[in-house]
Amino acid sequence: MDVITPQNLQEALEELAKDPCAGVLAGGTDLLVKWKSNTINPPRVFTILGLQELNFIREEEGRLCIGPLVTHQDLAESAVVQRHAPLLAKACAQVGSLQIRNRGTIGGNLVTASPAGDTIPALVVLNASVVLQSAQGERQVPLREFITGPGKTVLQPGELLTAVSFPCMEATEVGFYRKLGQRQAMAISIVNLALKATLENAVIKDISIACGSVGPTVVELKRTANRLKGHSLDTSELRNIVVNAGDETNPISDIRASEEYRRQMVGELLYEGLQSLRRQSAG
Amino acid sequence: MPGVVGRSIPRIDAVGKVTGQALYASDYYLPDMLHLKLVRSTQGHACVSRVDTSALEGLTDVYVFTAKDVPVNSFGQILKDQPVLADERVRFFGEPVAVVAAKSRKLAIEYSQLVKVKYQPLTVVEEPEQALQQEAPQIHTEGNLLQHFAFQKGNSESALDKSELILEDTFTTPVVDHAYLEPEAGVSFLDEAGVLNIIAGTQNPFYDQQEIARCLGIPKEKIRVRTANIGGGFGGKDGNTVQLYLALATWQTGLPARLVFDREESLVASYKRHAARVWVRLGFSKEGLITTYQGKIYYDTGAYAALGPAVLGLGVEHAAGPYVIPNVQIDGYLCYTNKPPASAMRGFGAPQTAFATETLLNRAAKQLQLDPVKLRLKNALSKGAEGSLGQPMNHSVGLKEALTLLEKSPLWQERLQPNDPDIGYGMAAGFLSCGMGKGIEDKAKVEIQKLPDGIYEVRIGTVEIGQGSNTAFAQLAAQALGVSLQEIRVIMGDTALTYDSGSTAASRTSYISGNALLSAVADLKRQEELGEVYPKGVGEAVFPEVKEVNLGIGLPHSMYTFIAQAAKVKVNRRTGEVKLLQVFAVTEAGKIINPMALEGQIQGGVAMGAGYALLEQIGFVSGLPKQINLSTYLLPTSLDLPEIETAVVEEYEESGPMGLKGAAEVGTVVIAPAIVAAINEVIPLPINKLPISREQIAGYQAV
Repeated sequence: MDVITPQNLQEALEELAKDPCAGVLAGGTDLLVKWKSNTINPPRVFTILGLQELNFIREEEGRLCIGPLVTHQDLAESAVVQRHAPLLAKACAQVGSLQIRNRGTIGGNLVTASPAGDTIPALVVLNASVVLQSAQGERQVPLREFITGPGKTVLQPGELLTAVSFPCMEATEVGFYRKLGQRQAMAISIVNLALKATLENAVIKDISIACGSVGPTVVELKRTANRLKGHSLDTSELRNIVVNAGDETNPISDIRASEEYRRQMVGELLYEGLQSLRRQSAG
Repeated sequence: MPGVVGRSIPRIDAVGKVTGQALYASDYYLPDMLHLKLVRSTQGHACVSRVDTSALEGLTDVYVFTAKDVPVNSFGQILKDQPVLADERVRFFGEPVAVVAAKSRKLAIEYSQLVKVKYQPLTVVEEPEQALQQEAPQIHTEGNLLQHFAFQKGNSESALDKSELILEDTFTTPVVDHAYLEPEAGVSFLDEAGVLNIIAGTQNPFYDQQEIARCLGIPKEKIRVRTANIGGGFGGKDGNTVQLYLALATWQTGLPARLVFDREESLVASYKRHAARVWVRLGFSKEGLITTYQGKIYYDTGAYAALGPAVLGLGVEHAAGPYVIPNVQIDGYLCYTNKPPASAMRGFGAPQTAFATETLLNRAAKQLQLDPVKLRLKNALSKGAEGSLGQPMNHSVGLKEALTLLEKSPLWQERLQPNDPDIGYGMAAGFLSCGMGKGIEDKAKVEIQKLPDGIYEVRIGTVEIGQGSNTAFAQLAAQALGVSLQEIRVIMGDTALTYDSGSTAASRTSYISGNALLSAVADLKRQEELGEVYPKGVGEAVFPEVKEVNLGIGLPHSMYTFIAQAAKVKVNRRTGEVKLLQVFAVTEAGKIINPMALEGQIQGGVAMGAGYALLEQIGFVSGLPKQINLSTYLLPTSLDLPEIETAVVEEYEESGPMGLKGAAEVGTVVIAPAIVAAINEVIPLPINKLPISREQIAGYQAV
């Protein structure tokens, strides 16, 4: 495997245009694992981790813009992210282990497009979109449309993900993120769940819920979200509404958990989330 | 120097290890050496119709060895039932079929993929129950039942009739791996004298030397096996891992060789802990005395015997727990299946049966409305008592003291004022034998010599596998000689420099080699008094044996180490998550030579036991392992392990070197049932299977 180090973004895009099949190496926490297990064997990879123009966290016109090379640990610790999207900071803090978080990048997590990717449900409820740039130009794609299947995205050969952005959370909005893994670190999610809601006197005005590891891509619980709207977080009916939320998902059984358990956990994590919102709104 | 023993001394090899200067078996690179790669079976059970190496013919600098290159193609510590390289049949997935040697690791891997093995699949025997059925395929010509051990004492049926409470249940435990930091590794070369040298991570270089001599037809004196620094053994490096393959390659080619298993090979194909199915029935009097133990124990030894018969033996010996029980009836069965050979692993057969018995005892405590510590105090062995197999407790027995310490611990006191309904507290007690056992050779011979530079060099045949025995020996020698630790040098585990003192196993090393060492020091002192300028002392020791009872297969033992352990957990009833919050572990191991080392051993044992309780398992489908790497075989991380507080009972074992008993394994024996008991304080769900299933907890509906 030849490793090429472009000096700036322009050069990276030009080189990528010439060799669109080359791999792109950022933190390497996915690519090197796949390379070791012979899942991929690209003859050439571009290592972009040194491209400073892709490593930023900026607040721009009410949106939070994040460069793809920001590591999970930097996001977890960022005061700006903690202020405007605490649920994303929480999601990032649960990726892999400290070593992996110091290495793995948010762009990498999105491009890898794992059904269990820990940042994806958080970014989906935040209405994130991604910027895809090539030597020819750039386009913006909603994250919901960016990932099309396990490991599959709409990223075209020659394109590089150069930013992810979403509206900063409003003062009336609260969020929640929960990862359920088999252990406290270095765990692939059995289920992960993010939610963002607008509350008015503990009544749910609006809510969006997304969960991972329960389908080929992130699943949004739209039906459950609709049923929750207008309900007070204090109502005893909440549990009845969410207990079967897993019916909206399409999980599989694998080495980590059974399909039934995953479905059951969607409801449980959501219930936990609503309890958390209630505490947040009270506090 | 006085006061060296009993003090927390940093390990004598610590600086070398933490600064990276210490060489481990996988750190050796020799000029022009060959890199070896094993071609392993891709089938769980199959006839091998052809091993086709023709693709490698005509290639330079590549060697391939198959069964026909091994003069005596069978090995094993107890039975010679395992081929060095599979010949006509493979009996487990990952079994070595051929060795490929090339100039680089990369080439060795590439070439190994060119060896084509033709298989005719056979029906896979998956579980002991299936193995014992009449129509089951026979894995070995002698049948699938490798060992049946039956024991009876008193009259358990009539005792049950008179019992106030009878409880019974069946428990299962999984195949697990040692998962040492350093996988199996070694190098080999011929020295100028034509002696075959092996430097390997091994727990018994003398056994390796014998087995190499036997299998390859090499005179014993032409073989030297020594140990490098070893990145963990836990029983998994007691037997053949890399040694025979290295010897074969170097002896045949004359070239140095290196073989290091990758993690996946180590997980899938090296020695494992026995999976078990254990049925237990216990009878109790109204006062809570155990009247009866009945057990049926099935251990799955995998495709080859390895140390399996001895592991079953200890499983049986420890099955009824460290209690006085007048009526005992045990049947133990050891069965072949198409899994990797199960052999020694820390605790050596005891954790499986302890999980069953201790869990049932905790259920009994609840039914009898007795505190679980009190229940055990009523039944605990004490000095002079009779163990479940009729063996006398003629050594230090500090179990009651350990239980009392546990009862007084802040953790257990906290249990009396519970303030969170999701937090539970549980405990268990246990023991583990020291030494090889009745009728099995168990001795050591140690040399100590004063050198011209004023250093005393101690030469010991057992091995430093990371347990800290070399530091303990330096402490014993310094104390006995009245010199400082810096004046002691310890050499261990080298067939050319030390005497055969058996395996570094069975929680025997510090005891037996320590006794031989003290005898050697006494000998050296005698010669010093006679005016010898550079005196050399030689000492021997023999492990004491039980006189009255002889049950065969090494049973019983003459000495045990005792523990009482408590766990505090938080249970998430909705998700089934179990968070281990705190552990309090009490140990009675005679006099503690190095408190810090003992604490490390106990904490390590508890960590291993916590993994056993909560996470670890290798499942098999048609002989193929489901967990094949460390992303699916899950060990607890530092974030999954709690504060582990340790305490010791101050005892002195009269027969031990300066009062010590072995304590390398005992820490891992009972934390699993303690965790189960703690969970059961939150939800009364019967947990009969390890690892504990979250799905089962989440699915539990409170009545």
